Amino acid sequence: MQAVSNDDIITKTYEDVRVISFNQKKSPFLSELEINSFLDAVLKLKDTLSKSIGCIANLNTKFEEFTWKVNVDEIDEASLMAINVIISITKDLHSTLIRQYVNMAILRQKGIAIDEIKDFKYQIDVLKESFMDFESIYFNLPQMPQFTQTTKELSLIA
Amino acid sequence: MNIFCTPRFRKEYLSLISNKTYRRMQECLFDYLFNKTLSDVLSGTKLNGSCPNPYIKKRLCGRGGYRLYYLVIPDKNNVFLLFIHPKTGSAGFDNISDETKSLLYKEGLDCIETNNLSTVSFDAAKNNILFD
Repeated sequence: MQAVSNDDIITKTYEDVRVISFNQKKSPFLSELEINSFLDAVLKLKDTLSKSIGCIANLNTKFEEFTWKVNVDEIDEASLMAINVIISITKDLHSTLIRQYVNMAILRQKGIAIDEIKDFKYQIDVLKESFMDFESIYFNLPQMPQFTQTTKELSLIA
Repeated sequence: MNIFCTPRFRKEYLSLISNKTYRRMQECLFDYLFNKTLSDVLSGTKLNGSCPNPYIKKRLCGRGGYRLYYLVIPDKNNVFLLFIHPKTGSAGFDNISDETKSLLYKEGLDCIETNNLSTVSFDAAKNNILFD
């Protein structure tokens, strides 16, 4: 085996340092402008996410309020059909939001906007729960004799 | 506001708080119920249509939190806790089935009618929930 001379080592190290030093002088982290533009992009992303989170949270609150205002035993067939459409559209919205969340995998891996992404996912999960609750309240539970009988008996307690 | 719970709730609650993962549940429930008025607890998702005594599902403590099911009899200022479950961890699950919702509802009514209930109170110094 051929011995590596000191000169070779020095030359190799010189080359390594020369290349790295040169490249680092071109690094965007030396440019305040580039760092600021990166931070601006992250802030813009967080802002967009926060707006989406607020929007979905607001919708989830409206769904809860809906269950206090629209009673299944007081609505007609047309209203029930409209509620069925609301459920379908919400399912579609949920699929769209899940696709958005999946596309955020790269951000999660890089540790960018982690809290916002977790909040976004939480609101998506609540949205799914909301349309499932609508299906229960307006379509499934009213068809269950035990449930309707309990409601009748409970209504008599005052 | 008077708060009661069914034997099922009490058993489930005590089992969950014995698990370190769910220690926060006590605080969540305490924050939601302690020193609150009836109008404070008339929120969440109402499951039983126009019934004057609401059957409610409530989300507690946001992300990774809990779901609480309870009945309210507003005229008597009474709240009846029926069931609680975490969303995450080994004892967690997403939702309960419609059959379980109906069963808990019926069970709650039966417990009210037979007075098979525990009284729920609070230890404010320790943020703790107590059963009689």
